Amino acid sequence: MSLFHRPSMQERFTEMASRYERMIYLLCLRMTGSREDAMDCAQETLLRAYRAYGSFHGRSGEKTWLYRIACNTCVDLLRRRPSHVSLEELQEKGYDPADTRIPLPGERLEKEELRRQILEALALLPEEQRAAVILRDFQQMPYEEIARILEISEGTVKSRISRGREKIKNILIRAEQNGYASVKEDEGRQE
Amino acid sequence: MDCRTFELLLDRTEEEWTQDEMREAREHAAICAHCRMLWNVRREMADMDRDEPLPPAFSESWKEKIRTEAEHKMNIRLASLKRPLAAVAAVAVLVLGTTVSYNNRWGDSRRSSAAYQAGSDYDAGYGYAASAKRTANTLQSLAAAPEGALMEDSVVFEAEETAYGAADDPSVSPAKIIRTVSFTLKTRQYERDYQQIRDLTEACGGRIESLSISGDGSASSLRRAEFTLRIPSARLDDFISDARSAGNVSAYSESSDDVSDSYYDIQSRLHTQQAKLARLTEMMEKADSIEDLIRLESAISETQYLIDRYSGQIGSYDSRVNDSTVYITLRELSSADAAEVKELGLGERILNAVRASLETAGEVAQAFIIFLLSALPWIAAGAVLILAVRALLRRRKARREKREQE
Repeated sequence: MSLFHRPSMQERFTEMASRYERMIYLLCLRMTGSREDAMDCAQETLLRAYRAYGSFHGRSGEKTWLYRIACNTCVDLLRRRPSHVSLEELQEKGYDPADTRIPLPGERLEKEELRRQILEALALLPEEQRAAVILRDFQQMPYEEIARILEISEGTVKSRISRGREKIKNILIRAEQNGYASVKEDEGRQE
Repeated sequence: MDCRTFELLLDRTEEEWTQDEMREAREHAAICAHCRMLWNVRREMADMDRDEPLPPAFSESWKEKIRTEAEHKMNIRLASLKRPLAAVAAVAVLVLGTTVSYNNRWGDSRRSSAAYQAGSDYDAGYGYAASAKRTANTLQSLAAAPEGALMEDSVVFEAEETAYGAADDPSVSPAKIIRTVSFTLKTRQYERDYQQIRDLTEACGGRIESLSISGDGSASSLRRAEFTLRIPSARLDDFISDARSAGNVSAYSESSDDVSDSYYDIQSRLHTQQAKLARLTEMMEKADSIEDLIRLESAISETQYLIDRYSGQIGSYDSRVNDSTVYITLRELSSADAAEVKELGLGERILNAVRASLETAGEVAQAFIIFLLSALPWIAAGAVLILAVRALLRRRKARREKREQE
């Protein structure tokens, strides 16, 4: 960019958003649980952010602002989804019900298996708890920043995170105790 | 370390633990499967994002969307300006057209309240001083006039030329200009201005040749005075400038008639006849026959008649040249016309200005309607053209979209 060139709004936004694109994508990935949905969600997030960029006054910080838009976009997408995911949809996304391995969670599970079960358990959380857990445990954000992003108090943040972690833990333990390879399958059965 | 403490420790990142906390955590996890599981889950959660790659197409994809969005915004902005610009252009055309129509309607005779500036005309008339051309040949041609029988006497011719050579010299004969001035004054203070005109006439040494008064001063019968004044030409300019201040001049005209040729022509004829009369009288005294006496008597009588006639004409010219004629019409103003007069109070002037403004608004509205009606054929032609172009563009767009779909 030349010295005398005054960047347009598009250029300024693109430069700013490029710094956070990966984190936004990962947030959307964890929230939606699907790479395709995550791409759509993240693009939609950045598009919404660009449209609102003109009125962004910088009070909350660019990162907080972008994350807030991303969370809202993901929640909108998830609410448009059906509440129960069918087995066929799970298979389309790579779930193999023939896999009958039942290792103890955290101990005998291979890394990929554990991760898969964590993500499946995460997908079963309500959107509000899910967002809080992702921001804290996946993206390692401090409580006050999470509170700013979600526009709630720190106490509420801690409460949601605590309940979300508890639920994940219970899901994993129950799945292991019942001998099911898939957390979803187990939760579906429980319901 | 117990499980509760361990769970609290897990709430902080491992980078934030102290060495002792790390050691105690390891020791507890070694004996507690539940806490060990929690620690593994938390570690995997922290590592998962680190290991997850960004899809290669993602970055370019969202940037392309932003670019498209920016172009779309620009197009919308330009499109949104079209209507306001079109509206501004339409208003400008209407205002311009109305103004032209309004000015053409009124032209120079716009308002009766406007003071008529006749200075240039007045100056041109006043400054005129044509020099009359009189040549010696004129005298000879006069001598060849109807009194042909006596022209055979060469003494008469000689006497004429001798007597009138100096008087007929063009270089010393002043121009004879008859000036006539006419103006109309409007006033709210009729009586004061009426008297002022009379006083001015007397002060300039002039006289009122005729005066006509009408009206009784009521709203339906405003007063009007028409003066015909004879003002000495030498004082005419002073009189005019003083009289114009008595009210508001709504009309003015002046004319200057150079009668020098006619004047000196008649004067020469007069001198000719006078010399002729003197010669005839001389001849009468020397006549020795009755026939000569009768003939001379007849000639004298005819000459005297011409002398009287020419003298009368000269006298008339002198009167009109020496005393200019001024026609003044003094009109009492109604309240509707009062806005033209400066001596009103502020309240009255505001009220009258509002009335005048409303009248102007009415005139402008009329001019607007006239312009609109006169421009109607052009507007209709323009509308047809625009519709045709839009239809053509729409058809092209539809064809292009159909091709893209195929």
